[in-house]
Amino acid sequence: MSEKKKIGFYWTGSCGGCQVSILDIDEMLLDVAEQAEIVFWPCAMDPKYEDVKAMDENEIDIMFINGAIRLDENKEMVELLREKTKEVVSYGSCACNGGVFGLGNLSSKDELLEKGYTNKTTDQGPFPQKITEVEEGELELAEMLDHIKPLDEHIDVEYYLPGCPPLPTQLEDALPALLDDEIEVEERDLITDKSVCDPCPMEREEKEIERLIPIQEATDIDPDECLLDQGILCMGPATAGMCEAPCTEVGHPCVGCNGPVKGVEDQGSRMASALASVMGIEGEENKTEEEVMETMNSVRDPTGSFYMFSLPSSIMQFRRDDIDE
Amino acid sequence: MSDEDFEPKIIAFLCNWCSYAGADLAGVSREQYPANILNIKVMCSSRVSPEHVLRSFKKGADGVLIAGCHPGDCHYINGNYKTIRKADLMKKIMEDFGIKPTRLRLEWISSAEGGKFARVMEEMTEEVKEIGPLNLDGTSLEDDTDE
Repeated sequence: MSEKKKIGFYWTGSCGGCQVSILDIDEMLLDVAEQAEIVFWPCAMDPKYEDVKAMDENEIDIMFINGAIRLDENKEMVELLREKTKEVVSYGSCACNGGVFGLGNLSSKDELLEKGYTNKTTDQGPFPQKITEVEEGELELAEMLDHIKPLDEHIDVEYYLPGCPPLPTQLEDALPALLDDEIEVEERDLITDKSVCDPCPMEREEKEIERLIPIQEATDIDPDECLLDQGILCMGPATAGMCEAPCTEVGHPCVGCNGPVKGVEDQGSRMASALASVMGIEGEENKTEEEVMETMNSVRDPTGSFYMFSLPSSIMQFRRDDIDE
Repeated sequence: MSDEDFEPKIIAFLCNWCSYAGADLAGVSREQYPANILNIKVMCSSRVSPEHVLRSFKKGADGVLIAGCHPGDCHYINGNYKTIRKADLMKKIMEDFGIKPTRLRLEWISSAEGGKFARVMEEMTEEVKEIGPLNLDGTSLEDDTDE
């Protein structure tokens, strides 16, 4: 066998779920350890910035980067890691599509900081600033960037592996393929072109939905019937189905964490199209335009629901100032 | 926006069976309408996805018009009802993205309404002139320097 591959895992602005997902592969981790040497993993080991800086160019074979790029420190670090790495894997939804953090792009940086730090319901603490003067000298904090961008807007990325977090089943396919030079993997091979509806076991009856019910108000969910048919907003039709639909299987609607299916740029638009097509009221022909439109009022927060995990990689990407001017 | 020289770019998605035929009739009957409109033929107004609309704005359009058969007259039975719902969602999404929802307009133009077609185009051009330019061309995150 050839020399062991050097791999690493890094997190930027993330919840930590992606790191846990790596441990989730259980005993397969032993196989990975056999084929590869983990040289960098801040979550589990104790490497410092200087250690990475001291590495040679392309010293790491595969680097898994997860999380959103929220601070200038995140950006600096991924740029450094890019220099030291042969192949970068954009790991998890935040790195691939911006993730939940991406919803922050609907507000300006100042709005976000104000909401977070001068909110009347919490103690008013000090407002974060780049340089703070203390007795001993100056302290420097990382600064927030204006917008969340997907990782590939900052650095070149070789592979995409979305999921919030990617499931062990996804990793079981992906890891051996990535670690084996014989197996060729294309950039977006780890994303499927089938939606979550494809593996979903629920029965779809193609009936028209009169209004959506918020999931917390849905009291009797039929475990065998399509959730959309039952009037519960399910992102399944617009979401890539690598996960094999574990959420809908237990009666929870898909929230769209895998991002759009392969080849689609804008997940939210696809969902809006799909939803507009399956909704309807009986005897529509005799109703006025306003009455038809009224059915859509039951769709709560369309932007937040449809773009929950993919706003920075969508067409619009962030809030524009056409209205605010 | 007080810019008097501003000439808006408007993309009009016209359904093959009614509105495009309406545009044809406007042409045949020598109706005058502003040259700010770029017509795109689609098979049905419900074919227009929010993706098309958002991408039009992103690529420099100042306004988007979707025109289809009158409700009840759809060649595909109920396509235009889907369009009504889709347009409603689109407007809400546009608003959240900070784009004035009035930049999107939905109209019903039949193949016999050449005059209406010309009138709608004129109205829409005036309206968008009033709203002002959107200028989204070349404003993706790629160009965002962030420093």
